[in-house]
Amino acid sequence: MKVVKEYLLSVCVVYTILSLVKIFMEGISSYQDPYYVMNFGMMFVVTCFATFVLFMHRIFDKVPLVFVMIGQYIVVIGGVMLGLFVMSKLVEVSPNAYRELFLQITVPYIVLAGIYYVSYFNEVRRANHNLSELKKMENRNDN
Amino acid sequence: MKINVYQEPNLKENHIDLYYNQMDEETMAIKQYLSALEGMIPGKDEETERERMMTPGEILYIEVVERKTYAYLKDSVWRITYGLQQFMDKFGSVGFARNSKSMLVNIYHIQELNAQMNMRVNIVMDNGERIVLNRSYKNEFYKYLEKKVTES
Repeated sequence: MKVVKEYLLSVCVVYTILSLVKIFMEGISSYQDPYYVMNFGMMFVVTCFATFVLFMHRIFDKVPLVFVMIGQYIVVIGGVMLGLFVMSKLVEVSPNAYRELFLQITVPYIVLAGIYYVSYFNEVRRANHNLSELKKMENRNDN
Repeated sequence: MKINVYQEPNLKENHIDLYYNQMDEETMAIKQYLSALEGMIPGKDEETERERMMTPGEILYIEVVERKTYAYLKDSVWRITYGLQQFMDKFGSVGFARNSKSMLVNIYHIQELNAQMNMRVNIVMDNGERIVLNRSYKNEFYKYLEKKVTES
């Protein structure tokens, strides 16, 4: 139940951020999206799917995280492109849809993965600092 | 002093009650001995059947293997009667943090944390042994370290 709540919360946060970025970018560039409603709907579906895939990392606890991240990216991009391909058979999609979706997923994914990678090393460095502090205090208490 | 020993199979927890009319030297010595034992952990070597008492501070880490709990010291392994959660409840405050579903590690016996490029964190123990810090327990583990530093 806790995981479901976390998942729903993440979907809400990510979708809000993506929507705000889209509105902000369109506002700056004065670009009018001809597929406005469909793109927002698509963005929601992609957010739900991508967040779901990212949440799956808990299952692969024993696999090194780099491989999990690469695997997740392939599943997300593959799933989204497949979904778009199926959709393109039913309704008209923008000619740049594949390229835009690729960029909309890849760029944030790489940025977030980079931030996570840096924070991972920082966390370990801080933990090592805490450990040496504890050892110093322990030695002081022993003396 | 008269010593009575009773076996009660339905007893939830073994206990010792010490009755005295006056705290004489003998009673005091027994009381001190029992108090010293209170924080001790009985362990058994499964190969030799040898038994020993150990302090939590001697233990590097605790691991559950096939529902049996083992305490790993610098150069020996002892089976103990505690379950992992039971051990955590009793000795968690003296430096034991969870690093995986089946392990507790004594933070005072950690040499360093080793971050690998593939984003796996190894815990290097005082005796050179390396154990993995599981991702699911990573945040809990780091918080425990922060808490310990703040407390001391």
